[in-house]
Amino acid sequence: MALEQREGSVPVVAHQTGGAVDGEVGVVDNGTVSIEVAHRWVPWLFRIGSVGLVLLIWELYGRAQETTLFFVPFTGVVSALWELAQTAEFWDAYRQTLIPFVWGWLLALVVGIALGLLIGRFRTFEAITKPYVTFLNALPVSTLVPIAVILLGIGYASRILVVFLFGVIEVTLNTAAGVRYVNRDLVEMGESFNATQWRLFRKVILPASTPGIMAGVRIGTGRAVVGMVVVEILLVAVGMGRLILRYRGRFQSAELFAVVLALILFGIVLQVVARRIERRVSRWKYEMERAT
Amino acid sequence: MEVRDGTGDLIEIQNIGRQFNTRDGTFEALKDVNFAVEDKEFFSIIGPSGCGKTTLLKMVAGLIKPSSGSITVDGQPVVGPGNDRAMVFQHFVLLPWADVLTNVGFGLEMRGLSRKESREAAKPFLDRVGLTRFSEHYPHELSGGMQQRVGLARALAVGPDILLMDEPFGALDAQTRQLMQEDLMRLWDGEQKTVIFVTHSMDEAAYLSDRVLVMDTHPGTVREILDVPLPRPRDESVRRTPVFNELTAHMWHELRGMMGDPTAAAPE
Amino acid sequence: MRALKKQNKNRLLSLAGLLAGLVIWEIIGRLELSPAFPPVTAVLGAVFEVWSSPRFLDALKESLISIAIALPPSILFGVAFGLLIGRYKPVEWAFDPLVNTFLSLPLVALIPVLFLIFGLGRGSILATIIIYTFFIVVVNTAAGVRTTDHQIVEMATSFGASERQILSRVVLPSALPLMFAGIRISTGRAIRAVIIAEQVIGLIGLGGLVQRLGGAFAVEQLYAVILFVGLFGLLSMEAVSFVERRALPWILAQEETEPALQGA
Repeated sequence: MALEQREGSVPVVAHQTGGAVDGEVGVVDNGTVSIEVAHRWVPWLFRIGSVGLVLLIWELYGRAQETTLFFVPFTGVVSALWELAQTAEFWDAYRQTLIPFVWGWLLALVVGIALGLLIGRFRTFEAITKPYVTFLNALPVSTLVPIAVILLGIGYASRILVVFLFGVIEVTLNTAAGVRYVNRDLVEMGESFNATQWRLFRKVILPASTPGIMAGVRIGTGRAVVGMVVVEILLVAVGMGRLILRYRGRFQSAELFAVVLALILFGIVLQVVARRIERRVSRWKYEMERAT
Repeated sequence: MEVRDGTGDLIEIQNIGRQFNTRDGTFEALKDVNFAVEDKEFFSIIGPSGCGKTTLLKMVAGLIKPSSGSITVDGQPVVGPGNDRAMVFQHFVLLPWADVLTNVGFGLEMRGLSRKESREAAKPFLDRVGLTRFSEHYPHELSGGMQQRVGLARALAVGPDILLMDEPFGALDAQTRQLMQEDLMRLWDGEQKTVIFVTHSMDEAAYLSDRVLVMDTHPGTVREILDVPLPRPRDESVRRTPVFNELTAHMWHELRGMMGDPTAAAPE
Repeated sequence: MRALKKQNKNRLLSLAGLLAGLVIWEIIGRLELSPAFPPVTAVLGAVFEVWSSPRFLDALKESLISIAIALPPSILFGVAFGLLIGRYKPVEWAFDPLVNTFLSLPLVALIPVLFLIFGLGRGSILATIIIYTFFIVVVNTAAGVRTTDHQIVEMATSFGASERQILSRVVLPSALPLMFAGIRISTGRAIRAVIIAEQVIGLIGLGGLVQRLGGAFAVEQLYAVILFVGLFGLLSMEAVSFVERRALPWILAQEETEPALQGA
């Protein structure tokens, strides 16, 4: 039962009220104290209520400040974002930020999955690459940014490299695990039918590792977005980073918050989409695990 | 038959009913369940799967509330778990992170003793189930039978008047099961406790009990209560007596009918 | 026996791979293909020089202080919060959207905002460490709570356990494995947080040192610092794993397939 939590993943809430357990229905205490709620919308009330409360506090605290120099109320940020979204400059900056992201991200997926497949499939390969992968996994990738700059300058190339470096590790590791932990029984079954190595790989191992690969894609995408933002705040010549720097210099805090919000929304949207896709692709695995 | 020196009915179960709300509507697990258990009696409950015998046991334990009816122990209504009752579970349910002695003392800790005190107090009970050597071991290092003995010791350690046993040997292999039955028999002879014992096994019920409640299912009700006219103390040999065989045959006949077996003969 | 041989064979391969990489790097360095790749020997030379220099040690001290101040409270509150969220459904309903939002967004993006609010000093760095670590601990602890075996809770209830007793004697021990996983992960994240925050400020701590060395094109020394940071990260995670294994010996017995990955 692999329940280890990874960065960015959401634990599946295992318990719901209702449903028979040993012929007994109702409150099953699996460490969670449950309440038999009368209506299904009660949880939603709490959820929306808490989000609303946070936004309210944000708003009121912001208004209570004497100046909007350091903290901007929620409505201020939203309206600033709205204003910015009307300007061509904003979207230009967005585009300039996005270009290295997309390239770096795609590269990370391609290289990451390829490497991950090799590492997962061949122990020898895993052994050889182990020191590098372990080190890169433990290292804060942001420390490699100056190296990337020295190597490739401050143009798109170094930015693509940084995004790539941020994303590739997680994609590789998760893909490798997806391949490595394919159910032994499945592989043995394929071998019992005298399948060739290649066919075995294509028809059994690869499909079975898809959930792991998709998890890698999701997490790697999140990391690539982080890389994109790191590029923006450490190498600030172009894109959103330039905007951030400008607004900070001019104390246009609302606009600053707005740009940050835009970046955050981008990140969230990508995560949500990636998670949806992952769930769709991995459905059979979830069903299987739920049944056992 | 040696009459147990009890003082009449200890546990009274009256008009018990229990419903559960499921996605498909209301499920009636128990209906009109009425019986009484005498003091110091070994009372078994047997029935097909899903007849609600475990639910019934948990009600006596105070873990579940009945939808209707009442349960009284020694004249007092049952409102929750209490010092007078202790449970033994089918899957042992020991704390995996604690050693055997701590596990035995767990019930005492729940009553307020310190870890040290409860471990101290637990020692004689560990001795009684013959596991003194394993006090520092962890549950996963023990066999199923041994783990269940720890569970039994834990229940005995809190000094209850009533032992509630939920298919305690159900998770054990056949040989271990039989050994445990004999051990339990000897232990009970010495302890003078009231026992309510839920089981699937007719042999087990006949071997261990003074009386056996046969439950019907859908909804769970009392089918009949059988006397077990076997002399005490009992040993291995009672399993081969005609009385024993008649009893188990009768139980089997009842249960078979309930499980919808079309080849069952018409009831006598 | 065969397994042991295989393990040794793999270790040898790893070593060989490492050496091969170093040799290739050395060659690239000697060929002077790029200022970004000095020869390995030059880097190793710089290692001794840098790791003992007061400049480096000061920066290290600064970074460690930040982590020491921010990480323990973050973990403590994270565990407490995680226990509440895991145990009580209404708390989960209330805080789920918040926690999940913070897990889904690129936390780096908040750094400019934090600097605006807390200024360009230690305050922002501490805040960064906290947002990087708190939510991970919460989520893992909550997940750990949910792994509690309901039969054990029932058993404890049957022995008259109070809510407090159930929490401390059943739920908490059950949650420990995942809780430790969260703590281990957040240790790595704390290092990342302090480094990136310091890089953005550019002046103090190891992150600041990285930026300054990069700006001065002092590549060998830069690599020396990077090497240190990477090894430090590895060692601290190992340290937590060690404590974890000591504290939870019963987990080894109930070994299930250990998933290979943790978020770094």
